[in-house]
Amino acid sequence: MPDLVWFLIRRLFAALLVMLALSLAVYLIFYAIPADPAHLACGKPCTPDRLEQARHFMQLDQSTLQQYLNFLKGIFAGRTFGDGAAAVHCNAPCFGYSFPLARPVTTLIMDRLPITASIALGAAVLWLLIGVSLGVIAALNRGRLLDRLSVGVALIGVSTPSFLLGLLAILVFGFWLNMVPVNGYIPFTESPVDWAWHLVTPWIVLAILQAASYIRLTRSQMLEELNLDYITTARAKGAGEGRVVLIHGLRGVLVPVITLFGLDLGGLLGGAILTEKVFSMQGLGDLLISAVGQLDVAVVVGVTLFSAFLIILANLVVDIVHGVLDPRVSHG
Amino acid sequence: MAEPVLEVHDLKVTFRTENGSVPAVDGIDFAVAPGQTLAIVGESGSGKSVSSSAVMGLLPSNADVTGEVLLDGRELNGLPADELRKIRGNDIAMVFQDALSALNPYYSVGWQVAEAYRLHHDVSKKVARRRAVEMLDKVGIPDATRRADSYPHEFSGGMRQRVVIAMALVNDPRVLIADEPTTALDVTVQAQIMRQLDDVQDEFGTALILISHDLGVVAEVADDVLVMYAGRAAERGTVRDLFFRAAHPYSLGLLGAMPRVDVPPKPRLTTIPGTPPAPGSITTGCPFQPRCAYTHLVGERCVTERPELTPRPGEGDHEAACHLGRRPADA
Repeated sequence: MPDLVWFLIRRLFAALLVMLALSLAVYLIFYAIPADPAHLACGKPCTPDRLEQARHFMQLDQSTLQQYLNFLKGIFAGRTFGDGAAAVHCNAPCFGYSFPLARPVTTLIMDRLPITASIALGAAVLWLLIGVSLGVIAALNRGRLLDRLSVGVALIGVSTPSFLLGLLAILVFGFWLNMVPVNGYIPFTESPVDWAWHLVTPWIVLAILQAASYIRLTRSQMLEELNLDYITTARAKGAGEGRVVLIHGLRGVLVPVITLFGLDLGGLLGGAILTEKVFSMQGLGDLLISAVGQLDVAVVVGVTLFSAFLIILANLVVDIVHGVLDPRVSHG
Repeated sequence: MAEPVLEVHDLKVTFRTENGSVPAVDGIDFAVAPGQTLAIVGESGSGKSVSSSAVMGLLPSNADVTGEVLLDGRELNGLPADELRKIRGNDIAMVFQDALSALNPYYSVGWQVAEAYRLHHDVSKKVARRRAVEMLDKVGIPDATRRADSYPHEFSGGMRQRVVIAMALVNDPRVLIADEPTTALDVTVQAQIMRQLDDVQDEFGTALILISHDLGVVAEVADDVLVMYAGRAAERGTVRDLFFRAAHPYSLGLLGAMPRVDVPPKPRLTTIPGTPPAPGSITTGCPFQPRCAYTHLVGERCVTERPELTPRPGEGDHEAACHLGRRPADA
């Protein structure tokens, strides 16, 4: 296990460097856009005087490099804008301050994260189950009706836009059949049943869309796996078909599936923009889109960096799980 | 010969493919008694491995198998999948050629040997593991208790093959089919593995079917030999019949192609000219005729009439399928 510890230390260090480079890139890109956040903050009529005041208050009058350094410093030490009674505090870890929303970006992200996480995690469990089981069924019935059906479902899944499927689901199950709520989010802590009830449609919609790639991956991987010599060995030992497939075959299939799963989930946790919009859920995706609309650069940078962080984290977790699933993978 | 434990009569295997059916094995007979070793030899594609897979019922679903496979007189061919499953690994076990690909990379070797035991014995995991360690120890894995937790990729080729043998023998099978068990190994390791197989055979009275193209190994361990060519038996007899009284030109060709230390070296090893026919491509005449050096002694018959196995002088049931009545060596 010391191997694993060293592996983690090295990977975390590398992740930190990547995050740093990324933050600089993101910062430069978004601060290069020809829009002046101070202009939006200064209100109307905006006298040159007040604009200058706003700029100074938001620390936009400093050089780009200085602004970036302030940003980095804020992550560890927090930041204070202005002074005296009008001062605005942003506690560490401070990933910027949204003046339009009058909240620290960190708080905004943490407020929205449970919604996005609820959507993403529930859907992920569903699509993993659907994708892997349909993929296995398809592989075992290669060329037959069940295989064609599964592959057909996969094809429809990959080619349907999420807003179309989402709106259709709302129309049919929400309005026509009146089975499920059409929008809104109830926190889990308030009522777990209502939480799930409000989320079930987005879960299913997202799961159907995502399951497609899992069906195809599982199917092709399982077909390959079933041709391997050790599958013949398992049969020669007297293992039944179920055991051959689930114990000996599936293990090798799970390695690439888990890799894809980790990356998909990491990406989705950063905000399911279209799904959140369709189901009127105020998650991270919604936060990001609104911020873009209002030129709220601090939020855009914060959410983008947070999404990037999740993907880097997902990669790390995938690598660790990979080592657990496949004893040939060495973390040394 | 003692009462055979496994008998195969007129075994035929045909694969249904998109290009029509391809006969891979075209009517072979063999039998093996407890404690005896039958070697099946022949070039690649002669139907050796297909025959053994057919005995185990391990062929893919596009294979049609006809003929009798009798284990202690019980017909196995056509048995329901679940009945056959109980026999596989328990009464008839198999050792494969490439131990690295034959072992599952995701599970420890101890787990894999224990699994083979648990599939046929209703015991706890602990008991099965103890049995697995015992077996690994028996096939010569040093420090078996600790090594049982290692994964296949952490073993050398020879040790992996020992694991495969332990897995095959864990249920004390009546018949062991070893499909080129030493082909992938170094010569010194080959000898160790063959000795190991020999030892367990002596200890348990297992009947061994050795599929090989290594005549050196065959000469050392086999009692009887079946020479296969293009899915049919070319010659069969005791190991001495084959080595001293080979009656089929193909057998002679195989013997001639074998490097020997007891005769002066030739600049190049003798080869059999040509290649084996594609399955199903020869419908009339002797399948070996296009490559045979003795056709001129027989004439037309080799092209028009398929030779059947006929008795030859020897120790017992020495038979060869050749129109040439005499030994080719005397001709």
